[in-house]
Amino acid sequence: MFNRNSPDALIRAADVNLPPTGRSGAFESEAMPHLNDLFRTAVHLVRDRSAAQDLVQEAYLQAWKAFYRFEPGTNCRAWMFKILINEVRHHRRRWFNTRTVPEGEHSFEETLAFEPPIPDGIQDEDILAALDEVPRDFREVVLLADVQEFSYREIAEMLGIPVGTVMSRLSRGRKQLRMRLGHYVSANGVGTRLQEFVYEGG
Amino acid sequence: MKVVNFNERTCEKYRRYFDAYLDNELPIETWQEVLQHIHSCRDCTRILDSRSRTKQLLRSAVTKEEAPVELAEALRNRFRSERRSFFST
Repeated sequence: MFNRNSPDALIRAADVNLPPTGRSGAFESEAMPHLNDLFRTAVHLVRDRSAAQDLVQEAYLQAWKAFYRFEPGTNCRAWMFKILINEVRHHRRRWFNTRTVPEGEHSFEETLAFEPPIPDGIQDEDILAALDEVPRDFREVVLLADVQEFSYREIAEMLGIPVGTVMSRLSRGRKQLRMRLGHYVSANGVGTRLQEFVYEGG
Repeated sequence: MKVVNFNERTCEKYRRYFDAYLDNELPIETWQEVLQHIHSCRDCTRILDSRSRTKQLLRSAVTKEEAPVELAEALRNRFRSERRSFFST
């Protein structure tokens, strides 16, 4: 259990009350190790490396300014991701009139029971291209669960949605990814095994 | 998540829980029910393996991307400049 009177806690509490210069050591060790993970996520959320760099910078600046509110001993990685998600949402509102996929609206692919197998020759670029085609609300949850390995509860907290919605978006996002991967691979000639599988009635 | 009662043992019923199974988000009783079914069903084993592989491939593909080296430096420069403006106000 966290002891607020332990020497470590007192040092951290004192650090938290310091102006930004005194906090930078703690911020550096707590927040900076997540830079690559935040950047990767931002790249696939906005599908633009340059915009992703700006968003990650903005998220870090917000976190740095608000670091006095961060509770030592809690999950800094999840806290940083929540700030990044908010920055991405501001970015979208600023630049795009984006349409989200209504929860009840299912694409044609999602109605199919068939699950195409993933061929052996699949390349990273095929997977990333298929991922970037998944609608953003679903892509967001797939990235947070499958790549960043956050729990359903952490994702729900980050996005401000119920756990049931996280599960539904994850299931639909994964299904769309599998189907797009199947289409992409067969259209680009990698999927001979997929074709054989379909013809055999698998 | 509530414990699921699988009275009707059709594959489709189990497959709805495959995502939560792979994410270790099922209650232990439901997890055991799903595991038992997988052991007795080749089609479901194939589907679960394929989903698990997709997840691994996705994670591997995305995590190969690295943030540009200049990004960390740009961030530290911004912190320095913010700190200066903090003390000048």
